[in-house]
Amino acid sequence: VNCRKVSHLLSAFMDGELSGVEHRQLHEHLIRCPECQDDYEGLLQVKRLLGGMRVQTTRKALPALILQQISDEEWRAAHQKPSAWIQQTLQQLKSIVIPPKTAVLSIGMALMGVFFAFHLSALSTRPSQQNTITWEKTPPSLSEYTEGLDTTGSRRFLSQPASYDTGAWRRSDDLLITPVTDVRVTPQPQIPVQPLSRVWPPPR
Amino acid sequence: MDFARLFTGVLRNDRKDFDALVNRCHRQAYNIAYRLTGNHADAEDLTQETFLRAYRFFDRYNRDMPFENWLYRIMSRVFIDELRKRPKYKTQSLDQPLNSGDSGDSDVMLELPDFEANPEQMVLSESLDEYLQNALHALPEEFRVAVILADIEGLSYEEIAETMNCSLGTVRSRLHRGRKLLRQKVAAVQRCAV
Repeated sequence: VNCRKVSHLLSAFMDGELSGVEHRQLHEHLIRCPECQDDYEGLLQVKRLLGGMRVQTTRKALPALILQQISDEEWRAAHQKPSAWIQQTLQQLKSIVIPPKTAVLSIGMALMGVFFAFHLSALSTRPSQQNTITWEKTPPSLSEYTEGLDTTGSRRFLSQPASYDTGAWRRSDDLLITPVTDVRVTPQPQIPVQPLSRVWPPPR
Repeated sequence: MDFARLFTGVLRNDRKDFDALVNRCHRQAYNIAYRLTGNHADAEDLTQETFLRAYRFFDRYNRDMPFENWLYRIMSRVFIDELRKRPKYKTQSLDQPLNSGDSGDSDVMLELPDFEANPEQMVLSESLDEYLQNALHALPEEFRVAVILADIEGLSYEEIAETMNCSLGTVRSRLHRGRKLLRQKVAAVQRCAV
């Protein structure tokens, strides 16, 4: 450690801002070197003088003044015209500088994103619309019901209309299927049933 | 921004906190402002402007940091910005009479205050204080801020670096050079006093 290096580090040494090794080296140098010691004493004196300066007091009204100023500004902010607010916001936006390369790149990416999103949604919706056909039966109108009395003659009922089973079926894609009006059930051939034998086990 | 914030409850809570902080910190802030500017009027302006800006950006204040340190950061920025905005001092020859432009000859000469004129008075603490203040005022503003924060406010190098938005090495060199300049002036007074 030479005197030149020491003179640069004296201030930090005085403030205790040197590392352990440097601090020790400087301390040892100062014991041996009276010139550096003088420098050190001078700096220490300045530090002490500054630390001993009187605290300047302010007038009592200062905090009230500050708070009043803040309230005024709040009031102005709350009562400013919307146009002024928009201008302010625009100015703030202007102050955010985006480099042109980044801007172009990000706009390009955004457009690509929109394009792909659109096509994906189209792909996912189209087939399902083609494949699903719903059927619905138009219910018979109320006039088709006939009113009558039941066998006891005490209750009124609505008879089942003739078209109940044969109401028109509609497809969701508007292909009309003609209603089936006549349903004939072909009789199933009777299978003769063997009577159960009373003898167990049955004879082979 | 303020317009939008008004309608949320945030502003009202912030305002309460901030009022308490103004009451707590204004004396300390004023003292530093006085040491930076060197007179009461400017110190008051600087303190007010600092608190006003602090309030505007209060939502950005990181609560882990001591409020005073954050306030000094704003103050040093306001101080240096304001100083740069002001018109530069005109250069004037010391030997030329004043107002030589309009009337041709005038025997009013430029007078400069001589701080070392009455060394006896320097021993009185008030004039020493004034002398130190003038010596501080003669420092470049970056050195002045660093020295005041370190020696009057007692901040660490790390805190000063954070406050002045510079590296530790820069703080070290600013402090050292500032103190050296101050030391030369103090030594000059002492030589006169002896």
